[in-house]
Amino acid sequence: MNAKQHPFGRWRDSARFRSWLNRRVPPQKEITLYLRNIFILPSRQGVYFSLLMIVILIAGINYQNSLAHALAFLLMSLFMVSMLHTYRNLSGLVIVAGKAGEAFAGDEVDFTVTLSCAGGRQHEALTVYWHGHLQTQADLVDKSEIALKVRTNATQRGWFDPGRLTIETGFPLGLFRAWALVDLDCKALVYPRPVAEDSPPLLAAGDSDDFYLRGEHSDDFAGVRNYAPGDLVRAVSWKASARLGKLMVKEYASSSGSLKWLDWQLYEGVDEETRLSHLTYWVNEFSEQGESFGISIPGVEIQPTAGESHRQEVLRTLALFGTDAA
Amino acid sequence: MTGLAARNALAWMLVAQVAVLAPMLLRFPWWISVVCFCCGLWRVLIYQQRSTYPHWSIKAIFVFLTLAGLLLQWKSLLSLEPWIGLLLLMFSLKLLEMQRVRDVYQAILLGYFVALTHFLYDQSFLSSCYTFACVLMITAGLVGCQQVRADLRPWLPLQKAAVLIFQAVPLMLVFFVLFPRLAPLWSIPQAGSMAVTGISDQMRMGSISELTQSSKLAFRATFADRLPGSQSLYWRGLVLNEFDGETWSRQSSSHNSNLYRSGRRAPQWLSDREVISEPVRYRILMEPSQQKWLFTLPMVMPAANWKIGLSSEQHLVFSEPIRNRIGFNVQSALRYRVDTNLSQSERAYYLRLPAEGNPQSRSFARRLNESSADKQAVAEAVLAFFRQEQFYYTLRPGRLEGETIDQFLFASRRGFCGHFASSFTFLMRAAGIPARVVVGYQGGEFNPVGNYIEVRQFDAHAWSEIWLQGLGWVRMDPTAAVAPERIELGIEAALQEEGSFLENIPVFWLKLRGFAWLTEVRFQIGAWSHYWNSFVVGYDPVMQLNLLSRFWEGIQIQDLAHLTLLSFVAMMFLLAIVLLRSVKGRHYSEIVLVFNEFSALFALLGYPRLKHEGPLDYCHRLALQRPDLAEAINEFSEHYIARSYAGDPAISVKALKRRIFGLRLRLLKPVS
Repeated sequence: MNAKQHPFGRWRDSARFRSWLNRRVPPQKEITLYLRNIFILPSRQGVYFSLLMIVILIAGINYQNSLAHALAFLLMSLFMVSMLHTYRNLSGLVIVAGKAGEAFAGDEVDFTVTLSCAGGRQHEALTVYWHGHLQTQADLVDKSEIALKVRTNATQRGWFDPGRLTIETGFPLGLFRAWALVDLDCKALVYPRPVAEDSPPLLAAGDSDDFYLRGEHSDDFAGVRNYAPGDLVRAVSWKASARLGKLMVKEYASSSGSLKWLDWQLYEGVDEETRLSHLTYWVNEFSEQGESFGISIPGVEIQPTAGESHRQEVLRTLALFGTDAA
Repeated sequence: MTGLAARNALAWMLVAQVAVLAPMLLRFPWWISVVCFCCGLWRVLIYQQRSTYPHWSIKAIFVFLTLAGLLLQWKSLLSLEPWIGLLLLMFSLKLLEMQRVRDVYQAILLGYFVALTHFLYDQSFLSSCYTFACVLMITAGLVGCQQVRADLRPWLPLQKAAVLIFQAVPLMLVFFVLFPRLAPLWSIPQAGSMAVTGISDQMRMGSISELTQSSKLAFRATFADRLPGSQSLYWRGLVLNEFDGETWSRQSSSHNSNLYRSGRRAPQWLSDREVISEPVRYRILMEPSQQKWLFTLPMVMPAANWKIGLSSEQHLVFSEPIRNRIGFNVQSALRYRVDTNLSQSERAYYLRLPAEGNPQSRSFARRLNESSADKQAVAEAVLAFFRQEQFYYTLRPGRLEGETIDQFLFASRRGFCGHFASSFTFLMRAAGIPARVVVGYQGGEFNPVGNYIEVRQFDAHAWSEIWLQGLGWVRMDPTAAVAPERIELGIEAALQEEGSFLENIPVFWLKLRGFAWLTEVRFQIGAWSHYWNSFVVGYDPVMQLNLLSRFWEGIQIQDLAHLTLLSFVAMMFLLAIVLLRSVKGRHYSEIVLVFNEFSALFALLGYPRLKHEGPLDYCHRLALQRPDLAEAINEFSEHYIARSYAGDPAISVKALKRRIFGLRLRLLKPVS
């Protein structure tokens, strides 16, 4: 469903509408849908259906046909009853915002949204989406809770606010569309967009030779990594290179190892965002290879180590660099 | 909605489409069925993924061919049929592009429209049930479009649609009864190609016997008070006054062309009618015949309905061919005197015969005339002739050619009512007595369940009327002279020996009249169908105001509009309460509900259960606060805990409920 088809399409972005909506449906971690936050209007099919109803009634009048009257009234009653059913299909639904997934700017980010029923009703054919993004369909039948991953695009690094979540339904007849626009007060941490570059901005710590010849004589093969200028030709893994289509270098685990420092200062004449992007790229690379690394950016210095929590800490620092939340 | 339609929605839609098209295709030219079948087959192949959707050029050729076919078939677009044909074809062709949800929606809307056309052709009870079943299936298609995981619950659309329709019915009924019924807004093409049924305005010697092979209902008559005897049940339809030697037909002349409608200036002939007996009041519910004739007992009084005219030959004529079932109230004076002063020109008119032909009959009439004292005696003599000579009342009269009257009277002597009426009237005219043939129905079957007389096509009859000085027009039924049982017992009894009654219908259940229980069932079905036709199909503006003014004196159409609106709001309110009430209770198991009932009882007494209290704590507190009930409370709590937490099978939920009931009883008793 694109913005054009949205009933509030034209003015859903206007400030007045937003402030009205914020007053009517204030941001909450957990929202139960009921009279105040459910909107309902006839769908396009509903409009056609009511036109058909009128045509049948006119035919009934003109042909003085009693059963055509009955048919027109039956359709009208169906229309009205389906309105109540469609409303009922949303009302009593409890929406809770869960954790947001990990994402880099420009990627898609998943928000976990939990739907449950407060009223013990069944909720069928629910469509859940962030405005303008992928729709997720769900049923809440014979179970009282369901967790959905609802996807949107993370545009910028930092704390990303996806806006209002739309939960809509046309069930049972599709003649009405009931929907709720809820602000679940959830945010996703979006890391900077990784941008590849040839060599890492490494600050040599100690003997540079030691760094370049690191562990090559050791016997513990640890994996392969991208070729970097300066790597020894015999360290190149030709098998892996042929498979991946780029030069790869064999790596050997080394207990002593050397400390890598990714250094902000090594970029010269490069703007902040690009620096962050490159740094993110290298954080990913090193983490994938299980290497220890430290990072130093203005105001923050994280000691070299490896592991998932280290990676997240570093990425978080990069994501929030220069923002209020930092 | 741009997504592809779910397969379940498509499946339901296909089923609904077949169901809704079937009865219409039977009424339309065969080639439309062929087109529909091809489209259906193609779609099923697509559904089974054995074929693909046709290219747009193929679709265009299809559309062009069908349009051309429609134009060739009907040549004009002014009648209703080509439009319905177009609807049927479009509905089928839609199958070939029913790909996306939007297409299914369009097909569904068309489907409702096809269901509407059923009613233009048939509004009988069974057929209406069928049509509403089609509506149910179309609605199931609509639900199918919304379903997310159709593969899990393929029957859900039908269930859901049934629930919706069930809930919609009360609101529909309110609208059906209250919504102001309006007169047609503009004129519309009528369904035209429907077969004319029943009595026609021409009668050859054997033409009525064709009708007697049909058991189709002609009309039903409900009498307000007493029922006339079967000898009086001559339902006059129209008068045939022109004979060409073979066929009696109806000629409009200055004498009979002017109709009197109530509220208009009374013509002169209207004054020459004398009512002798108190008129009987009855209501006729006439089936569509595509003709204008209405059937009533003589002598009929002018009807209140301005669309019904009274002709100078004392029969009622509707203002247009009867395309829909119509009902009207009417009165007839069974004893009467009419047209006692017949003018010379009129007398001459009713004496006209072809210049020559049937010489034997003419001379026979002349001889009778000479030998009889008066005109009435001539008629009596002819009837006696029919009675005494070897005349047979039969449905197999054999073919007559040439001088048909002569042949019948003096050679074959085997005939049906048409033969007798025709020859009798011929003889009368030849003898100089003004006479005419009247066609209509005679008799009918009384249905004790519905308290009405049911007249079917096989009750069709022809008889004569002769004009006698001082008496006016008098009915003469030569058939009664030959086969009196035809009039007294009905046509079946008259033809019992011959076995020719409804012989062309092999297993017709009317034949099985011998079984009493079957007759009872037949009467029940007939009565039900009569009620359906009079109160549902026949619910028109007049009936609506009549019905509602019973509850609201002097109700106007504006009041109806207000009433409709009010009841609409009230019904919606009720529905909303029923549908939207909280259903929390369903969450809990039965045993929890029992405890809720228990706490509700004590909450009423002023000891509500506190939020932090478990069942045991609550019961302890209650026992302390109501020492008079402490024993019962403790017993209940013990049992409840044993059942609920220990799952003790010895304690049933019912027993717990009984305990609550016992507590209730004790509380109700006055404190002693």
